[in-house]
This record gives sequence, C-alpha cells and structure tokens, in this order.
Amino acid sequence: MKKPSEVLKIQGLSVGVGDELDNILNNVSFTVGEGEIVGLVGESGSGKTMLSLALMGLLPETIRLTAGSIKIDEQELVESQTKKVERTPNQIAMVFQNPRNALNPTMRIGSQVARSLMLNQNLSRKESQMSALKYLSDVGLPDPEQISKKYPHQLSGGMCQRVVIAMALACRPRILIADEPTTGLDVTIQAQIFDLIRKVRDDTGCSVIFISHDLASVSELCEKVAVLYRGQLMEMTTKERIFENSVHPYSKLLVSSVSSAKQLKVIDRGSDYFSSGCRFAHRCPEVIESCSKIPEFLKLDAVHSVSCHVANNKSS
Amino acid sequence: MWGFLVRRLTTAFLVIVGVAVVVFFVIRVLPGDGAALRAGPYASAERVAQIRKDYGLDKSLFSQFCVYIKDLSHGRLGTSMRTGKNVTGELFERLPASLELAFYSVLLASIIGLPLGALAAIKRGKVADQMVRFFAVIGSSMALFWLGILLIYLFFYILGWSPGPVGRMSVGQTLPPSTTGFITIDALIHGQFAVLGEAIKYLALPVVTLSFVLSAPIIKITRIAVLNTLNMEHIRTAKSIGVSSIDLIWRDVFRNAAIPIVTTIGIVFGYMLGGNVIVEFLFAWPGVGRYAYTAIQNSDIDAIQGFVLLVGIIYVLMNVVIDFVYMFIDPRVRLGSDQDSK
Amino acid sequence: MKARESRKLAFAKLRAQPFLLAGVFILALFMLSAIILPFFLRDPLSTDVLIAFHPPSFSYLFGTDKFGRDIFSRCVSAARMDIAVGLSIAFSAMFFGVIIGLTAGVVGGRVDETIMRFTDLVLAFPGFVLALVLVAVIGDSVFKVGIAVTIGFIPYFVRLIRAEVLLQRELDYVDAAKLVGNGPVRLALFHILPNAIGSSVVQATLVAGWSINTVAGLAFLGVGIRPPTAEWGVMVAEGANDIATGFWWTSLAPGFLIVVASMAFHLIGDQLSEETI
Repeated sequence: MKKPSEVLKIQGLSVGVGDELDNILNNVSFTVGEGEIVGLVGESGSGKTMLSLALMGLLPETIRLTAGSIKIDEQELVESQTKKVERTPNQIAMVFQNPRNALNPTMRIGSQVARSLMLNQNLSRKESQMSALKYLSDVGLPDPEQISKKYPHQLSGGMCQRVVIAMALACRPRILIADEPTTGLDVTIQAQIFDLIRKVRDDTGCSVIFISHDLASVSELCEKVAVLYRGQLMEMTTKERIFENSVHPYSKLLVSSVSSAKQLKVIDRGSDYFSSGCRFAHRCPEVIESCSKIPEFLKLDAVHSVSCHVANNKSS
Repeated sequence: MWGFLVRRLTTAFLVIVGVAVVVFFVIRVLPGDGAALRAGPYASAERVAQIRKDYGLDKSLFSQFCVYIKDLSHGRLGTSMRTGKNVTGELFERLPASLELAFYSVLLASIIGLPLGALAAIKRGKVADQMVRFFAVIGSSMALFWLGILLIYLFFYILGWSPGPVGRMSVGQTLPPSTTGFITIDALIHGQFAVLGEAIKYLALPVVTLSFVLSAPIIKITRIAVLNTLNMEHIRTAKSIGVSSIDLIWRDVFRNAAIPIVTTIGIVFGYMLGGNVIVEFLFAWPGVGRYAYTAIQNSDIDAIQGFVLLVGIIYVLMNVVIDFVYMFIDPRVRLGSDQDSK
Repeated sequence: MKARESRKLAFAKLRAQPFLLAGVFILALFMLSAIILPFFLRDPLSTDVLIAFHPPSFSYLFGTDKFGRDIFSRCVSAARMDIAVGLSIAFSAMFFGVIIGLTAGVVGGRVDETIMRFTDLVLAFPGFVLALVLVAVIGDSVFKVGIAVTIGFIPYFVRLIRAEVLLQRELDYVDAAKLVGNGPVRLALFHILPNAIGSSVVQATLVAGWSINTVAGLAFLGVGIRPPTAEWGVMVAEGANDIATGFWWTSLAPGFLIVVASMAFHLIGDQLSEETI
C-alpha cells in the first residue's frame, strides 16, 4: 500500500513564555499527510492556537519556540540557531478566528483579496482584481462584484469568514490551517463552511488542519483527530477510532461528553499535582504512579499514537 | 455626506453662540471695574465716567447683553480702546499671518513627529524607542520663549544666518498682492521668487522653534496609535499572506491609526492659530496672538473679548474640519455601520 | 519576602526605568538645593552695579545681571517658587478635577451633562491663552496666576476620573458595596476613587511640568509674576535684551532651568504612563 506522503511533519515542538521552555507546548509531534483533513481538538488554554501560530511563524513577541522541527515537504522551517520559523504563504496559510477582526477595516474586500493574489501568484494589478472576483465566487459569496467594493463592517460574520478563506486560498498553500472558523456563526453557515473546506481540499489537494474546541464538529469534517491538553499532545488517530476505541483517559472523557448528556464526575487535584509529569494527571481518573513522569508520544499502530502510561501498559 | 456636514455646522453654530454668551458673562462678572480697567491707571475720574457712559457700562447687565448680541449678529466684535477701530477687522487683518506660521509649524512638526512616533512604536522597548521618547519629553518640557531666544542668539547674533526678529518680512520690503494671505504662496504664484526667499528666511526661526515643541504631542499620539494598531488582528492576517513591511505600515497600520493622529494634529493646529502668543511676541510676528498680547497690556477689554471669542470659534470650526476629515479616512464613519446579512 | 529583599527588588525595578530614575534624581537635586543652598548663597535681591554683567565664573556660577545681582542665587530662589507653584497647581487641579469628575461619574444624568458641557467649554481655549486672559481680568499676583492656570487644567482631570468611574461603576465590587449598605458618598470616596485615581496621578506629573512652563511663560510676557521677584520667566524677560550686547547668561541660564525642572516631571510622567500601556 502506498504510504501517503507526509506534507507536514512536526517533531518535538516546544513553545514557552517567560522563563519556561515548554509551558505552552510540550514536545508535540505529529504528521499530516497529503490531502488529509486533520482535526486539532482542545479546550481553551490547550495551546492549539499557539501551535498554529508557531507553524505560521507568527508567535507574539514574548512567546518563543524553544525546541523542535517543522518540516513541510521535507523542508525544514525552523532556523536552528535563532529558532525562528521561516515559512512562505505558499507552504502554509491560515484562516483566523474572528473573521471580522482579521480583515483590514479601511480596505475594500476586493483589494484585500487582490493583494493576496498579487503577492502570491505574481499577477498584475488588473489580473489580480479579476481573479479576486473569481475567488470570491468560489468561496460561495453571491454577487462578487458588489461585495468586492464593500468594506468589512458592511458584511456579516459568515461572509467575512469566506473572504478570509479566499485570501488564504490565494496563497495556494500546501496546508491550510482553519482556527475555529465557525465559532460564533450559526449552524447552517457552519455546514456551508465545512462544505467549502471539503471542496477546497478536493480542488487543490491541500491538507487542512481544523482547530476546534468542539469534538462534534471536528468529527463531522475531519478524517484524523489530534487531542491536545495543556500543551501536551495526548492522542492522535482516525475519527472512527477516537469515538469507538480511544485509549487516552482525556479523549474518553471528551467523547463521552459529546455522545451522552450524562453528568461526568469532575476530578481536580490541583494543577501542582505531578507538576513535571503528565499534564492531565491532576484530572485523570486513571492516574498511576508512573504518571509523575511525562509520558512519550508513542505509536500504538500505524494510525494511532498516544501519550499515556496507562494506555501503554494496556497495550503491552 | 452633505447631510452630515450640514448637521455638524448647525451644531457648531449653536456651540459658538453658547461660547459667545459665556465669554460675555465671564468678562463682565469677574472682579474689577470695567470702566476703570478700560480707562487705564492714569485716567481721571471724569474720564472713567465718560467711558462708562460711552461703552454703556452704566446700563443693566441685561441691556448690555442685548447690545452685545446685536453687535455680534452684525459681526461687530467691539471697538478697540487703543486704536478705535473695529476689533473684527483688526483680527481678520492679522489672521493670515498667524495662519501661515501655524500651518508651516504644524507641517514641519508632523513631518518630524509622524515617522518618529511610528518608529518608536515598531521598535518598542528598544533603544530607538527610548531615544524618541526622550526627544518627545524634551519637546514637552521646552520653554518656547527660551528656545526662541536661544535660536535667535545662535542664528542671528552669532552666525548671522537668520534675519532678526522683526516680523514676517524685512522692513520696507513690499509684499506681493494678497491673494491667499500667505506671503510664501502669494510670492510663488506671482513669480516674486526673491520675496519668497526672504519670506522663508523670516519664517525659519519661528517655525523651527514651534515645530520642535509641537512635534512632542504628535510623536506621543502616533506612537500610541500605532502600538494599538499593531496589536490588531488584521495585522496578523496581512503578515500571514506575505505583505511586506512597508506596505504593512502604510496600508494596514497608518490608515487604521490615523483617526487619533489626525485629531491631535487638528487640535494642535487650532491651538496654534489663536494661542501662539509667545512666539508671535518674540519674533514680532503681526498675528492674532501678538494683537492679544498688546490688548492685554493695554487692558483693551473689547479687543480681549473679541480675541477670546475668535479662539473659541476657531476651536469649534476646527472640530468640524476634523470630523469631516474622518469621513475620508475611515469608511465606517463615511458609510455608517450598515450590514447586509445575507 | 524580607524587608531587605523587597527593597533590593524595588531598587532593581527603579534602575530598569531610566526615565523615572532621572526624573526623580533631578527633582531631588532641586529640592535639596532649594532647601540647603540658600544658607550659603548671596541675597538674590541685592544689587551692586559695579559687578554688573560678569560672565559665569567660579564665584558667580551663572554670572551677574544688569543690576549686578547674582544670577545663580536668584535662580535657586526662583526654583523654590516655580517648583512650588507648579506642584500646587498640579495638586489643586487634580483635587478639584477629581471631585468634579467623581460627581459627574457617580451622579450621572443632568449633572453629568452639565459638567461635561462646562469642561468642553474650558477645553476650547488653549491653557496658556485662558490663563493669560483670566489674569488680565482678575489681576497680577502669584496666587491669581495659580488660580488662572489651575482652571485650565481642571478639565483634564475631570475627564480622566469620569472615564474611570464610568468603567468602575459596572464592576461587581460596586454592587457588592452597595448591597452592604454604602451610601453614594462613601461608595465614591472609599471604593471607587482608589481604583480610579491611577491615571490622574500620572496626569498630575505632566500637569506639574506644564504648569512650570505656563507660569514662566506668563511671567516672561509680564503677566502674573513681575520683577523684581526672582522667577525664572521674569529673569528670562529681563535678560532677553542683553543678548543683543552678547550677554547670553542672563536669560539663557534661568530659561535652561525651566526646561530641566519641567523635564524632571515629564520624565516621571512619561515612564509612569508607559507602565500602563
């Protein structure tokens, strides 16, 4: 069976703020294959947005990449000495949260999309203006001529979201990161955006990393799911596996909160518990002694990796 | 857009009326005998009584107020004690001089202040930022009159590069026909290049003195505005699609940082028009500020009153202009926040 | 943390803020010299025409003026007046501005609107011009100048405090305090005010700096404080014409001190406001 090519390979990525080396992301490793739609699930504070910003080389001033490698099509993005991430829009592009804030309030829609085209597809001003109309219609906006003359504050949230997607697509990226693209939008729009993402993948063959706190929507759209908790990548496997056969205690809790309305017993031993061990230990119902040491992210099989002592014990 | 302008001007007119009323009462109500002040410290009792009668100061406050309003509606701001002429006319005669000085000073201050402020914001916390902030601190603390004297001493007395502080032009030089009131522009459009050169030489020192001090608030507001804009999310989007630093500054930062910056520059300009007493005095500039100084030295109440009213009117009109400029900068102001939710 | 450790930490923080350090240092210098030096200096008012126009030297640090007065001792004497006046104006403006602004913010409604109209009215006039005209009408004296300048600065504090109060009003602790039974005055003074006052304190330092410049500027024009009082602006005015005959120190020395004193306050204010951004 032909192994799908690894478009994105992240190894040992650690990101820290202040004096810490890895308080935001701890030793994260995963891969994304060509044309895959991968979901990144985590609650707020899990580090999922920081992970995407790290990949984009857009981490804020005070937050630094302290270790790890990011390879796109075998090309290393992390500069070894300075740990800066050098990426081109052609490699990864991102669709940010809060689409209205992501757009320049003083620039017309058409110009914003056209600018992305001029920068990334080497088009002239005229060509990019024409092409922008096509992109606007491709992302499902009716009457692109009218829309391109408008300003962001004149559009609804859903329409702004599509514009941001258009701008990202203009970069013709190998990987498209979508950070909570449907948060704040109503359910019908959500379905439309999902269709759009699938269409984009089908048309261009790019891979998609879909970031969300909502496991349900992730399962609707994505083929693979990665579960992040407090900067530690806990489990990564196919969508089916996560629901039927997840191994990590945190994933299991997430899944049961989606599939049943049953009240879950909340455990919290205080975040100092096993402070240099597994990041989930303080809330884990299956915690054991070995959890005081942070578990490695190990392969259970070809499509399933997990970072958990309990899971490892069970499999061996 | 025009509806907005009309509304704004109507509000402005009402505010001006309010200012006029308050100015009247403040000047009348403050301690001191109006007639005695006008007559001066050397006047005899009969003179004071005569003045009291001539200026209607013996009548009731209410009837004085009516006279005041009636005069105002005819554009009469009163009669100067000193010259006997109509204050309105005198002020308007001197306005172009103040306007020219204020214009070039604010222009130079902006040319210095805008890039420095932006630089400080971009390099926040680094040495460049500290240096710019220090420069702004000096500008804020600078005593205009001291700086003026210092520059006159250096460039006139010692180096002889600049003409003496005798006003806008050398004594005896004929001015170009007054089309705009700006000697520089008038000389330019009438092709009198020698006069243009002279005018610039006379403008140099006062403009430099003022710009140094005026650049400080411009630097400060630009720095803050740019800092706030840099934190906005659309900057991140622009970076993500590969926008170059220069284009970023211009299209993403400046147009969004512009509103507070424009406001400050506008207010500074408005203050300079009427409030430039010290520099006009020092450089013998025949402007409104110097007129006010002379009026105050002579206790010329009507002139002072007219001047204060003018300053208030300038401020109100300046705000209208600023609001108008907003419309060009920010599409949200221009078009209103209408949303088509489809 | 032990007392000594916390003091060390405070000093380390101070050193990291050069502007603050410089400003405080300069102010301390002024304070000390204003208090101690007069015992060692000549009388600022004594004249001796024989030694007029001596350039700066060891015995006459800033030289002498046209009446033979020692400029350095006059400057030191002026320092007390100028800085004291500057501080008084800043405190008074803050005091009245805070009271008015608190009232506007806490009471709201018509009262608030009226106060804001008056504030806008005062702000229509540049502070210097306002003070100039007021002094012209109410008369010259240090006290009257102080009042005139203070009036011009009050609106700044009114606006600042009012904005803070409007913010604080919405916070939960205010509801809690009301529930416990605090009347509006207690609420305003003991609960809201401590939280709202921060930006006003920073503004006060800037106002102190501006006041020094304004008062000196007025004095330069012959308004407010007049000769022979030793005041920096007065001294610059007196010495301005001496420049024509090459005697630069009579006006440039006192003027320089105006800038330095004002700078001390502005350095502190600038650093403090930077902390809050």
